[in-house]
Amino acid sequence: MARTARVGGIVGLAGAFGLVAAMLAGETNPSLGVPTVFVLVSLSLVVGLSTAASP
Amino acid sequence: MVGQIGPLVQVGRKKTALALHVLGGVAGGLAIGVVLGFLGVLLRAAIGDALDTVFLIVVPSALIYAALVDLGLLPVRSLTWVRQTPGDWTCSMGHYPGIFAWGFDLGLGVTTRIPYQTLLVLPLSAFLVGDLGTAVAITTAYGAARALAVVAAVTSAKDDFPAVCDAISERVLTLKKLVGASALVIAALIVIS
Repeated sequence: MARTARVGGIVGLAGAFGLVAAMLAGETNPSLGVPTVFVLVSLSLVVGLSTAASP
Repeated sequence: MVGQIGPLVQVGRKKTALALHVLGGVAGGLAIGVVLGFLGVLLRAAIGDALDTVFLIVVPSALIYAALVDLGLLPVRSLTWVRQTPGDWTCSMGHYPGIFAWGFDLGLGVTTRIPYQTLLVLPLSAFLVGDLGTAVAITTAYGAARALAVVAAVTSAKDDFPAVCDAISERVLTLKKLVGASALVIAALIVIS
């Protein structure tokens, strides 16, 4: 339970970071906007969180 | 990386070591984001708003290609390199600098072995987006997430790091398919957004 909570907390932290980063970055580039930046940052988070085992 | 960092955090202060690893990951992502973002800004200055069209064609196409490879639906040789983060950095640089450097190296994303083809689309999109802030957000999110994943694995290991490495290794194929499926979804979202 504690392990799940810890992992969930870290994933949540990464998600919050990604959301804030996407909003900040999206505001600076009106041609693409927040939605596109958000999905790209989300993909970065998914790929990053999936590569813990890779050297 | 879990197998290397895990035993090392037993030597010094665990929280300091893991924080430095995350800091290194963020710094690595930030560094490559600045480089790619700057090159993208130069490209935008050269071709103007046509870069947005290039982005909307190239990035979803690359995502679909990478997704098909990661899902195992396209039997082609994966693009990757053999280099791995040197295990002796904690000896040559020192304990904490070595752990920071590992995070930095992995946070760059493209200097070590490429586990998923979708990973290669991240620097490509950071370059073609043509905006420094967005490029930094994409690559820094990757660097931070990768380092946080290591932290999550190490902190949940309860000192049995080989068992965690084995557990992760058993899930590599599942993770690869998850990443591939995510790439397909992201490609669709980019096209319709």
